[in-house]
Amino acid sequence: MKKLSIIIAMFMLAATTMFASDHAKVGEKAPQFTLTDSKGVEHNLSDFAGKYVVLEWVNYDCPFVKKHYESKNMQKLQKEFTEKGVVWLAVCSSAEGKQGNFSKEELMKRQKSLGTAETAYLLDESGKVGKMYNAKTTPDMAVINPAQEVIYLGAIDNIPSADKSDVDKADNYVRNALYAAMSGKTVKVKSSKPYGCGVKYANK
Amino acid sequence: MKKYIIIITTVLLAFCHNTNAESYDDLVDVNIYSNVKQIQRGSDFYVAIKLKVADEWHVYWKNPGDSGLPTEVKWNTPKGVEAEGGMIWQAPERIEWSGMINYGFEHDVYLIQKFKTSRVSDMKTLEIGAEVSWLVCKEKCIPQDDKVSIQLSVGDLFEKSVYDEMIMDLLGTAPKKFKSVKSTFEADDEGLEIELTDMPNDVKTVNDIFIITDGVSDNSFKTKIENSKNEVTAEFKISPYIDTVPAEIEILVLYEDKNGKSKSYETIISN
Repeated sequence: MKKLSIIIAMFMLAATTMFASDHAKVGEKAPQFTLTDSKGVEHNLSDFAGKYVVLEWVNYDCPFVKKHYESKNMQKLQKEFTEKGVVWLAVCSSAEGKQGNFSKEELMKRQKSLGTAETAYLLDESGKVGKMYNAKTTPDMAVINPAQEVIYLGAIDNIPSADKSDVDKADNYVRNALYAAMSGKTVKVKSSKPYGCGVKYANK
Repeated sequence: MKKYIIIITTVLLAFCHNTNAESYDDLVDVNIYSNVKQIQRGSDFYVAIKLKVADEWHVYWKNPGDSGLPTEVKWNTPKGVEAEGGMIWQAPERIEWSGMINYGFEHDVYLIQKFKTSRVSDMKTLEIGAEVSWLVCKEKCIPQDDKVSIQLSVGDLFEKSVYDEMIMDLLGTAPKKFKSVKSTFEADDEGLEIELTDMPNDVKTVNDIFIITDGVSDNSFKTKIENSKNEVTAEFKISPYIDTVPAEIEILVLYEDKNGKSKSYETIISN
């Protein structure tokens, strides 16, 4: 029986990897990736099959990211959903030497002062994963369901601004998508143009 | 002696702090002008906002492209004065950065608004205020804002200001509004094709088309434009973030006229 379970699990993992797309598209399998986090731990997206996963592109020096962290909006969302078993992966695609690419010490200092509550902070210096997910701005969000399909891509909410006072007035697309999917309802807004600073990929 | 060391250290530390601190106050300088010194009661006039942008930095057009925010102006006008029509923008530049495309201005830019006044107004002077907000970016992005205002006298006769010629020149080169009746577009899950069949009479060649309606097209896709005898077609890729393409989209068309002059027009087309 144990042998059969292992075979089924291996088959599911293979199927997840086999049918994964090269570029993220709503309704399709999420592109698979492996990234190392700020603590040196390696994570494969496929490790989280069976759970909801949120990908959040981040650059703590971007004013649009500051809007969501200084208002505590992002930390609240991270806590609200990680407590429900959601895996929240912050992804930094800032290339070496670019804004948002911090030393380990500086990153820890920033995260401590902001009180961030992500599951892991993934380092994507090459920008490969950012480009797979078409991440253009910080913040830029992706929500993946337990079957590892993309169910939401784009902006965190519907008010494109760097103004903290807009947070409470905004319709949060990530929260809406997660609650709808978790309760078996249709995700109404499946994608929305992201807003923010451009992701600081390696040069032109 | 110990006291002097402490004072010198404090001064040095303060100096180091000031030289390291980055100041972004001078990146954009905002000024306001009008084409009139005196408004003729009941007539129209223009107000222009100039954003003087520091070298290598840019501010954004009404459709900012892949990232950024549109520059915004909130007008404060007295009773009897109303903005007429939308704000008049200059044609933007494509700003490419790390594989992303933005639309904006890497130089000074003017935003112009037409105002109309009421005939019955008994004002002798009036003030037009503008709350201007923008995002200025290079490697970094800084959201900024400023308030500017202009005092104008009101009388029975129109009196030009020294900025009249400058504002008229800017209006002359700004995109014109053109009402399209026949031009259309078609869209599917992947692409959007525009067909321009009615255009201003002086169009010789269409060189570029920008979709003003934000979020419709994938900006990183290079637009393919084909000029034929009686029509122009342009292919765009649909944005991966759009669920439903609106029934109408606003576009900016950049063209060369029959005298070889660069011109542009804005129009709304439907599918």
